[in-house]
Amino acid sequence: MSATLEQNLRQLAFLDAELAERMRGVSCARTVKVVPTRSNFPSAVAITTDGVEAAIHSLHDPIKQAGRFVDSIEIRESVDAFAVIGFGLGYHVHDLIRRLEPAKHVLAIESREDVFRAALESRDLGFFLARPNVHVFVGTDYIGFLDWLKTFLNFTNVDSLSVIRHMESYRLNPAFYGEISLEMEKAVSRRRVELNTLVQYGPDLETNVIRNLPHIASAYGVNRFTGALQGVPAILVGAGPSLSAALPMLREVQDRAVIVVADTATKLLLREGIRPHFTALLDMTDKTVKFFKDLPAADAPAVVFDPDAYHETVRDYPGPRITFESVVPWTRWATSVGGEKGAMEKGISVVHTGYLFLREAGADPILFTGIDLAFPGKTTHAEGVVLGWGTGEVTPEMEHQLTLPSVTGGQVKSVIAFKTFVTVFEILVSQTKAKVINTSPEGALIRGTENLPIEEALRRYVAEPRDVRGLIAARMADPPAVDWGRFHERAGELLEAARRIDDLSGSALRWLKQTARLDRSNKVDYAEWRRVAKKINRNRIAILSMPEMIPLFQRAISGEALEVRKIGKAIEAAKEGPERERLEQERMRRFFGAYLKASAHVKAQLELMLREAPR
Amino acid sequence: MQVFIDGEPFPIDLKPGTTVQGVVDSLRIHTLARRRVITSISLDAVAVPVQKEAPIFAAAADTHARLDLATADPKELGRSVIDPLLPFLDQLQSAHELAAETLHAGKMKEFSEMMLQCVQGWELLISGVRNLGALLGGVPAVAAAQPADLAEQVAQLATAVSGLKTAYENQDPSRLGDALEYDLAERIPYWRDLLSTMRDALDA
Repeated sequence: MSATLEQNLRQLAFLDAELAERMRGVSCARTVKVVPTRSNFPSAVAITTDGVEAAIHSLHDPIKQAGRFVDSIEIRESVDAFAVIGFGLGYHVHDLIRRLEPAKHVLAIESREDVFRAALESRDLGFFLARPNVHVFVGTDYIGFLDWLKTFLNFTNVDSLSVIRHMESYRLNPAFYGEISLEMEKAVSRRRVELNTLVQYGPDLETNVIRNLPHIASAYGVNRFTGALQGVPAILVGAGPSLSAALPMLREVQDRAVIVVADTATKLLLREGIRPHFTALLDMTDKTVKFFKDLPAADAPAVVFDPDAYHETVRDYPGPRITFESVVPWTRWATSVGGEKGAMEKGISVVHTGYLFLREAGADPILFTGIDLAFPGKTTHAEGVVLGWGTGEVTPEMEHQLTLPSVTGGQVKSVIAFKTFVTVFEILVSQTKAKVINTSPEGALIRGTENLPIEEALRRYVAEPRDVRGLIAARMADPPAVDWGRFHERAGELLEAARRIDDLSGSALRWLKQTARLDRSNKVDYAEWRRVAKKINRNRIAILSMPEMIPLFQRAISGEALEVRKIGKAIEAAKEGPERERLEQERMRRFFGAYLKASAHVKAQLELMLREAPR
Repeated sequence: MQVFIDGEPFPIDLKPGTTVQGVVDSLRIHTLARRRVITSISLDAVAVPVQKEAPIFAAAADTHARLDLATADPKELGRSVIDPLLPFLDQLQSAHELAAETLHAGKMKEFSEMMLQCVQGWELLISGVRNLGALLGGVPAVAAAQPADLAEQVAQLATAVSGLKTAYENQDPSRLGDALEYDLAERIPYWRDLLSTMRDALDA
């Protein structure tokens, strides 16, 4: 092994140990030729997917070519991250990196393992591998790529991404690169939508999770069911049109598999003589109230509820409740009084939540029924479900319509939200050991699942009677005990802290107003400004020094936090002077304004919650 | 067989067994002596190649009715080919640079049009040089101005142009860029010098 390769692999191992290990076993000898050029920098030639030999860089002067290429790219200061499609031997990536500040993220995606191996063998890639904020993906595993991208976006707070296509590399695998380019552009805009949603619905989500605190504390945790259904077949029931035809068959097999049903289809199943074992609840709005209205307690399956689900629906649910610790910090606070509930990913729909629960429980296989995520016919849902959206009919006026690949091999009508659901399922299924079978006869294709007609799937996988209820009952024999005295005491401390933040923010805002009237060029005013600025800063530090409260406030202040970040970037770019001072004032004003608003909201909801919570 | 030169009858004494080739060869000597070159030949109103050893010329002269030759002043002929090519070569350098920049910027539609113009230009040059060689090869001054490896140079140029076209068909941006910026661009000074020398030889 050459010294260059060894050094590159060592550095790569710090960045991505699994990739470094994988690259050790890759050979490029037969498919990539590294060739000398008269500029003394090597170039390379690779065989394309259509069997043609193509140069990856100039065979004369790859450095000059890279410089010209990067010259043609618009590098905007406001962009947080640059994704280069096609690494090749890295010349263009190197040229790009030297024009960027270290804080900017650089993502390199190379579909060909052999090309990346050739790069590792032929050049010192330290400019890339040793730089902070670099991320590399090698290969053509599309689902793996989606997962990698999701991890990157979740851990870096990037909200703008520029995609740069290296033409020569693109040529080597246009289908894969085309798909991921599109996905990257959509992922960032989806993230913006998520952040905007958070901004728009942040207060509602906070209301729900705070008002749900007593129910979170007293609910069973998903950790009670970890592995409880190992090897037990499960049927995950959605409310899609194909559910109607499946109902008689589900009735026949209900004692042979665990049945988890979407909230909107719960009452339908019960009317059809099917007693689901679990239902799932996710939606944060009051439309969920009707899903379980008039549901008798004796018939109510245990509900797996997302901590952000609409609080009145959670409160009024007549059956047992199960929940989980999510990324929302309030859920972890609740475990300090109600015991741990077990961590689970948040689903983006009820069927995702149901799936995640079944996966945690170890169910295998998992059969999808009524999870069409498409409209093969004229209806949007199975007949008899409680509609959470739409009229039940597919109409031309429905927004965001598109077509998706179907299980039949063609295309099927759907909507953009379902496309996201399909993608998320594909990622989840790829990470699941259990077999997943999709019985939708004409719905959207979910890659990684086996497509089978429901009769065949049930015949093969749901043949034997099982005491599923017994298994579940055993896990629920010992309901969680909550020390309500301690709950009230701890919540009271939170309320007190919220009041303090309210005071600190309010006084800081008054002082900021005061300092805005001061003329800093005047000696007396300047001294006064300095005195008041210290007090403002002390208040800021006091707020940020409440380690328990700060995470709890994050969602409530998320809208203003984005603005504060933008102002921070503007401050970095501004020179010393009046404009910079103005921006700093504005940033402080936004900071305290956000906490004032959030503390008012949190206080109000804590007070209401404490009035309802058991003693 | 009757012979016409530039539309005028040309009396010729044909011995039995004389081939068309023999007639053409003697007419070449005749026209060269008058400081003219043959630019086109037609046999019984059918155009035939001007080059010396066209297969049809092997036939006996008396099996054909009429031989027409058009001639031209080699200077005028040479200038008519070389004069447009020289400024074209001057523009070709910047055309190549612009095409390469456009390629690197990913503007493929504009690049395709530019590339087509470059290719057409080079192909015009190649056919012009080949025609000059065929038409004026017998002119001593021109023959003296031609390098010994001219045919080889033309063949290499044709290969480079072909390489450009292949890189385009294969959608190989690096090879396209290299062909424009290096393989072809580096040949421009040579062809500019050669054509200038040939033009000077014609004027002498």
